[in-house]
Amino acid sequence: MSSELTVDVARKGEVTVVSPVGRIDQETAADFQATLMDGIREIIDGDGHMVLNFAGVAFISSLGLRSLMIGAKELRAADRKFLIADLTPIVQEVFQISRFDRVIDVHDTLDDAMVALVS
Amino acid sequence: MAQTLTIANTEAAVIGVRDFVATTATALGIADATAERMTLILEELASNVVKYGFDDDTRHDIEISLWREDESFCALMVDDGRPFDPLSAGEPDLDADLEERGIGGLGIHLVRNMADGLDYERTEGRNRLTIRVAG
Repeated sequence: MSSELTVDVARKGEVTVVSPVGRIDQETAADFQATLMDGIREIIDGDGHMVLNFAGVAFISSLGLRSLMIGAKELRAADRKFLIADLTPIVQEVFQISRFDRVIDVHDTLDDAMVALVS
Repeated sequence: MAQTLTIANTEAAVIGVRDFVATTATALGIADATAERMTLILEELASNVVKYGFDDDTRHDIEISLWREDESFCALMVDDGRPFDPLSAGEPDLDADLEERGIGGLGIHLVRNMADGLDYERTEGRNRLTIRVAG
């Protein structure tokens, strides 16, 4: 049994929605970071903002947090928005302990995040 | 009786920790949320030993044992890397703004906050860390 992570990337208007499904851990964090950074580069080279739909993320370790922090910094430096929506309980716990809610805009649902972007 | 896994000090070997914890937790009747906390703790700790524990290029063993104690899920991790007490490691600055905040250093912070008990000993040239996660 190995960790599996699929990452769906969809464009909705000027928002790129990245939806990882699975575990972001020792095994998958490097691939997650590569996909995330591809999406971020496209946004920075073009236009728009990014929303991460975390409804399908069952687990995240500090390696995954590191990727999110790098992504958040890149987008902030380019004056783009970076939102995360729909955290599962263990991911929420990891975010609280790491105080990621201080540095990344967290929303209860994907819809909430999309509304927050246009308002 | 404890179940034990011995892994080499490589990033690839750390991947095996997850299956070991999941399988043992199921056998011991440990709840999924408790098992996931233990997985996170052991992945962070083992990864840390692999990254920072050794100066040489030879293979070292990291030994992880798991058992149940009443409602708690417990682990003992033993390695012969440099002395490292996670309880006395420095805290990352979590109050900094995004621009100033470091990108890493959260692993040990997560370990300290997710574990309900941590007990470190350095004996016979080995780090011995006992971890308890309440069920």
